Amino acid sequence: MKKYIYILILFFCSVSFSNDELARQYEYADKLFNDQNYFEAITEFKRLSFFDEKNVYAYESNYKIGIAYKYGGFYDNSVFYLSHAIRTTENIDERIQAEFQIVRCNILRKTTDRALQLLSQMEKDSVYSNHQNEIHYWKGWSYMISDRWDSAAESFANISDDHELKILSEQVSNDKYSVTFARVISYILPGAGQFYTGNYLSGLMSLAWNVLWGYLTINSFIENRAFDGVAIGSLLWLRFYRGNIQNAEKLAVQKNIEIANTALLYLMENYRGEKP
Amino acid sequence: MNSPLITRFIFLFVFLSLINAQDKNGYFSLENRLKFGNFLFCKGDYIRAIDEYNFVLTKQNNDTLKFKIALAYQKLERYDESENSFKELFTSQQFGSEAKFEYFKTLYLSDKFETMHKRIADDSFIESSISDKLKRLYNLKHLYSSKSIEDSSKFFQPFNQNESIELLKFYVRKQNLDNKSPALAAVLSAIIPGLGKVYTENYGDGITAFLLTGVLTFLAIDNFNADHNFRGWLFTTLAAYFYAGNIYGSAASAVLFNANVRMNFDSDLTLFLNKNNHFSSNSNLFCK
Repeated sequence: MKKYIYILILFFCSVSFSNDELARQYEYADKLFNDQNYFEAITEFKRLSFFDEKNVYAYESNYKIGIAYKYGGFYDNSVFYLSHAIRTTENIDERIQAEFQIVRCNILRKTTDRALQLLSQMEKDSVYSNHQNEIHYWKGWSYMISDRWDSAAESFANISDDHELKILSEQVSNDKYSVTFARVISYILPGAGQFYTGNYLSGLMSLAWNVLWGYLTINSFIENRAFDGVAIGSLLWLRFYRGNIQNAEKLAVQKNIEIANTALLYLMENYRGEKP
Repeated sequence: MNSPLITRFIFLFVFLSLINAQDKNGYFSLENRLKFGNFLFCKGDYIRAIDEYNFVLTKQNNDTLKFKIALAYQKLERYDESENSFKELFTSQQFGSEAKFEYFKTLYLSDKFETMHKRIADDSFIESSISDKLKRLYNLKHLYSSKSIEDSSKFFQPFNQNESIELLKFYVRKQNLDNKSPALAAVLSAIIPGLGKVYTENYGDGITAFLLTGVLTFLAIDNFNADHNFRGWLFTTLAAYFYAGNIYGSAASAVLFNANVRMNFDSDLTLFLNKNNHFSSNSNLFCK
């Protein structure tokens, strides 16, 4: 009997010896990961997964492979491994951690609709009741990346009224030009939309061309040459009138892109909070 | 405990450790690196599979691994490296023929038509076992060429009857690509404004160009007749602008038309050939 007990003890000793090897491989992969050597880290975590038949490190491996792919800019691969990590764990905190990383990958790969959809599902789920601020935070980021700064400001306001990103979002929202307003004032006075967006030369040119073709059109009608009036009116005046409206819209959109890009650049270079 | 018993326990410990930790120290053993490399290869992680295989190759010579590395480069679309790797295997007893075929397929995938042409004419390169497979790829490449295929019997010869029936549709379509001449389109528009656009099947633009140029010319003449010289010159300038623009536009329209026809043909052909694996055997021999 004693003999069998000794054998059993020895067997467990040897099993733990084998697990130690897995632990060593995990430490090695993790070291590469912490050293930001993501390519090698992915290889070693994959090696760990391959030999980890009992899935002892399944979550850690898949999660860190996902994160390493994220840092490498391979967001599809990242989402694949993070989703796999979720399937390999029953631990709620680990699932939540991976879910948020998937949201962040979606923000980075600009599939913000998917990020918002995931966040809305999380918002309704009682499991995430202690993570509401985090949900609002990433919702705000999703809106910022999708150029919906008003909604971003609302999301950040749910966290705090003086949240740095709320103030930034509001500022961007206020700075942006109204494309509709630029179009409408250009309907009323050609060139006004360009003036509104600060493109004075373009505005003056638009106004001058419209005055010239307008004068010639009206002059033709006054001289009882209606056909000339229709031709100049439709081919020149209307063309320049429509061009002026389209130009005003285009300039407003361009200015808005510049404003949004400046804000995003600020976030990238100067913002100290958590980024996707 | 007496000493023989201790010795037996130590022996047992080592034995059980080896069973349980069969892969451990061995995570980086040649055998395990090979296993891991095969796993990565079949999962499509070719870059890492190549690294594992290369490590094994530093310790032992293995044509299978060299062949798989060449295939991995081909899958990664690193065609130059793939070509060089396959070339090294031309003299391999085990993979010589397959390497020549895959090398030829790499040339086909990387659009090196000239090199394909040289290789197909080289008797020392062609082996009877792969001759038909090479000719198929070579003939399929002809479908992408802008030149017409002169001998249809030669084209279909390496394919079986079913394959020939499937390819016939593309062969006929390629031989009768409906191209338009840019010069003719420009001349037609110079004679009657808009006619070049009608020729390139841009009917709406053609009719618009005809009406606009006609109306503007009429207005120019009418204004000169009525001594409204400013408006006369204005309409003359507009008519000339539309007339010249239409000639240039007709030629451009013909070029666009041809590019569109060619693009549609190439894209349909590529879809069809990808679906049929380019009428060559499945190269994924190593994964279930």
